Amino acid sequence: MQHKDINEDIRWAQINKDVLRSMENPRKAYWISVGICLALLSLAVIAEIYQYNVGLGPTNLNWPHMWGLYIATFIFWIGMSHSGTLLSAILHIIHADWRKPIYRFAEAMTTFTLMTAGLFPIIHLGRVWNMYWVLPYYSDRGIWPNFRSPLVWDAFAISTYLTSSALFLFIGMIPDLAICRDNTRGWKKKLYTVLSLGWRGDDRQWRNFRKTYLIMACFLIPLAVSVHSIVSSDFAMSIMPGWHVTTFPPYFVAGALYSGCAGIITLFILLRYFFRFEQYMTLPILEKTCKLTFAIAMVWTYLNLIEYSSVWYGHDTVAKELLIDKFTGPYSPYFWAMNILGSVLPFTLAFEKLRRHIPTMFAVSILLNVGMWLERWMIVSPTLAMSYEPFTHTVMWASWVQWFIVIGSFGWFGLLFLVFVKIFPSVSMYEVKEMIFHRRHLANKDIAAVMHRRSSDPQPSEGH
Amino acid sequence: MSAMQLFFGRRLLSCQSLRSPGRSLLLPLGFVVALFAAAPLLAEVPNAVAPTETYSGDQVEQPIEFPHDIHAKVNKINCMYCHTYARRSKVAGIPPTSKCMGCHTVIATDKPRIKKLTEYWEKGESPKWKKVHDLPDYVHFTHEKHLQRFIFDNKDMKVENASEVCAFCHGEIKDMTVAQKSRPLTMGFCRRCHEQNKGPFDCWKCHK
Amino acid sequence: MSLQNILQDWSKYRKGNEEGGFHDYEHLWGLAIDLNKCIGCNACSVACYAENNLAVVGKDKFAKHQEMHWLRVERYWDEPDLGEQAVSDYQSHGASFLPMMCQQCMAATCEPVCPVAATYHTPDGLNAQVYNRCIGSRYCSNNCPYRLRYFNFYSYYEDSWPAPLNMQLNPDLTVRDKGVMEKCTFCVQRIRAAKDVAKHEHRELQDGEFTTACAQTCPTQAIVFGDLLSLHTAGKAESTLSTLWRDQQVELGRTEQHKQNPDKRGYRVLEGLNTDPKVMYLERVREV
Repeated sequence: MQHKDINEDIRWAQINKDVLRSMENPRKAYWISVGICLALLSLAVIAEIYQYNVGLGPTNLNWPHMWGLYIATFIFWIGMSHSGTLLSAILHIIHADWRKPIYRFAEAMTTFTLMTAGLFPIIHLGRVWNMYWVLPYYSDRGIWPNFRSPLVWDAFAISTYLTSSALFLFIGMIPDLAICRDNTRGWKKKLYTVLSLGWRGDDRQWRNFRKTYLIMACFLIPLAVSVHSIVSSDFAMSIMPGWHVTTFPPYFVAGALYSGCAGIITLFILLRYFFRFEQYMTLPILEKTCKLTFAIAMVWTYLNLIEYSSVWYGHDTVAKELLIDKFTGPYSPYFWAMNILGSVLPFTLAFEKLRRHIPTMFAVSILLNVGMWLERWMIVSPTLAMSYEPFTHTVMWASWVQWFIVIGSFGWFGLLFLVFVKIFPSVSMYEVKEMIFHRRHLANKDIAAVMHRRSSDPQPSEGH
Repeated sequence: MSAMQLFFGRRLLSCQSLRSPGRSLLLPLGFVVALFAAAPLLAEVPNAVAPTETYSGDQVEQPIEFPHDIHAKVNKINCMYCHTYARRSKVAGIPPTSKCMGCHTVIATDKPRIKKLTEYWEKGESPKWKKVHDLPDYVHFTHEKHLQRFIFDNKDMKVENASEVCAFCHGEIKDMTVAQKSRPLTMGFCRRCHEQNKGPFDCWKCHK
Repeated sequence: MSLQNILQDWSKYRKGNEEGGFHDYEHLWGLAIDLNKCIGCNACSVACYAENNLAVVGKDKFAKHQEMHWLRVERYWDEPDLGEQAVSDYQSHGASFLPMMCQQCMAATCEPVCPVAATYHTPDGLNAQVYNRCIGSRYCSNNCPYRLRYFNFYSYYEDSWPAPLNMQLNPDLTVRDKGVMEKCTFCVQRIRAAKDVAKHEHRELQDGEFTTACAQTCPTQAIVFGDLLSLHTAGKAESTLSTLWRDQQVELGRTEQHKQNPDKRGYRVLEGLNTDPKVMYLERVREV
């Protein structure tokens, strides 16, 4: 059984070769995946064109159920985006170097999930053509958006997060793009020449690069936390039972990291299989990701139970009724499914045997995300179904229009990701080299002593 | 209006709207307006700041090419003589053909336009005038309130000069034959005038 | 909403509530509805449809809850286990009716959440909904505990008012298109018209000079419309409505009414949420 995170004897030329190989000559499976994604996306496009022309009626959204799957899926995708930041920024500043082979695609996932998520608030608008009114631009009419509204905060938060994570992804890629530039021909070479920003790899460039990367990481962490807190305030700022919950910001952030980590496991397994990245995306790294997911799942479960118990022991009768209705009412199958998938299923991650069994982990990671999607839906819909006014208690089941757009969003994300992996290196070459270098030389005490100049750095004798 | 005012007045007026930092972008806009607003000299309307923006609307083809200039400028007929409803209702109104015929049974009966008008009159039809100044359906604009503010409740304002008030939004109709839209009549146009003339600032005052 | 509104007026409105005075309001339009008098005939609702250009959506869409009845008469049946003669009790008592229109809350939950400030508080104390500003995010409806905001899920004008029915549309307010939120306005077009007349005649608006379509139509006169300003501002002319509120010992700006006389029937729906609604209901008294 493999115990080391990465094979330390691997040659650097081999790393370049393996990663660059993944970007060449798409195979049949790739084109099939592209086809599937395009098909899913076209479903969404058809539904959106229909909805745009007719109005929101065909979605089955109705009078108490003004929001539905769109907002639920919006939160789901925003949540998915958070783990990229976790891997690339948080683990970067705490020097967890096992992140290095897998953070690149996670960061790409962040960017693309945000690009998917950002579409949903736009799609769900009644008058899409006026969506720019949410932004504070100088208008001849002299009116501004309502800065008190969490939806305006959303617009700020998401666009900021999208810009910064795309920048972070790009900055982290510059040395790799230079490698690509030196190893490709034709239009690709031109593209990488522009994108690598004249990277030569000299000392000054590396110094500036490290500094920028660190600053971006430090900037991105509070940003990521605030983004999902703001998304949660769409609900927490309202007055409705089941939404008006003080613990929503941490609950949403935990849920976000949770579904994001599950998403990373899914993509990890897919990339490992299709691109034969067994050398880099190794089982010990998968295991570490699984452990991380398990820890976050437990945090999420804890916060979830806190939410139930604070309602249960509170004095808000309507909220209590709503909670009982969640457990027993028309939405109860989905509610129970969410709890089982979200809180019980992660215990499979606690067993080493299962963690190392790739097909199981693939299925589990997808099921965890199904659970997390259900969680978002169970936040949005039951409250709308069962709020203060008993006259308005109704249940809404989404129509094909909503489902097509929700399904199509997966196609859109998949398409973006597929394009990414063929144009950009999905494993960070220079950081894998760094990781191997460090690991190799940590064994050699003389070199390690030179490398670790600061006294606070861990000495080679400790740990590892 | 002195030459000083002509050159600097409008710019200063634009600066009056800088009551809040949010409108600080109005400053460059004010300069632009001041530079390009080659508005013709208006007779003063007391206690009012005239809007200056201009707009070039389409030439609308009317059934009869009605000469506003002959009526309002040469013969100095008050606007409200024909558009009688302006002082008491939301719309200014188009005069009925009978009102035209009140004069034109005796005046200028040999002119081709009047002949056309007489034809309409004899057939018992009214010319189908086309609307030139049209506002969207969600806007509540009343002529009555504006005339009250600028003419009837306005101290030192002479009713004979009513056309200067009309010109705030309709431009120099006096100099046109067929009326042509010469003010933008956008929300920004309304808003700036409301700011300068202390009009109501509540959305629901104008939107319905 | 201009920046000025945000910096000054917002705090003004907030402070106005805390200081217990509504000195900045020109009017505070409110309602009182006597449920003893309400017979559930729905005439108010019909009047509202006629006055406010409400689209008739048809059976299918009504069944899907995509209707837009600004004034709905809610119907509640008694619990069938009232006594031994459950069935007969059930029939003799009949249903309880609760006509619900926008409560024009003073601390409205719909207002702060609108991303484009299409809904805001007017100096008349009304919750305005500016249709042409609305982008249809529907957050306001989600955040209304009374669920009194309705959304145009379709464009209705061709289906709802086929010619010549379009001639019956009220020109004083917009016909809303798809993707716009709408709600009861306390017949703001009537308020506007009455104010215009009063201003033209250089006088104050009189109590009872005009009324809303629902109040005008109610056959039992269960609905009273008027100005509540004198409840909280000294020196204002007392209106019929504020006399009624005073008589019922119901006050604005409270989450709970402290009545000296508990027999008084006045209450406000869900006032514990601190939405501060301006519609007072008079409880129905029944023999058990």
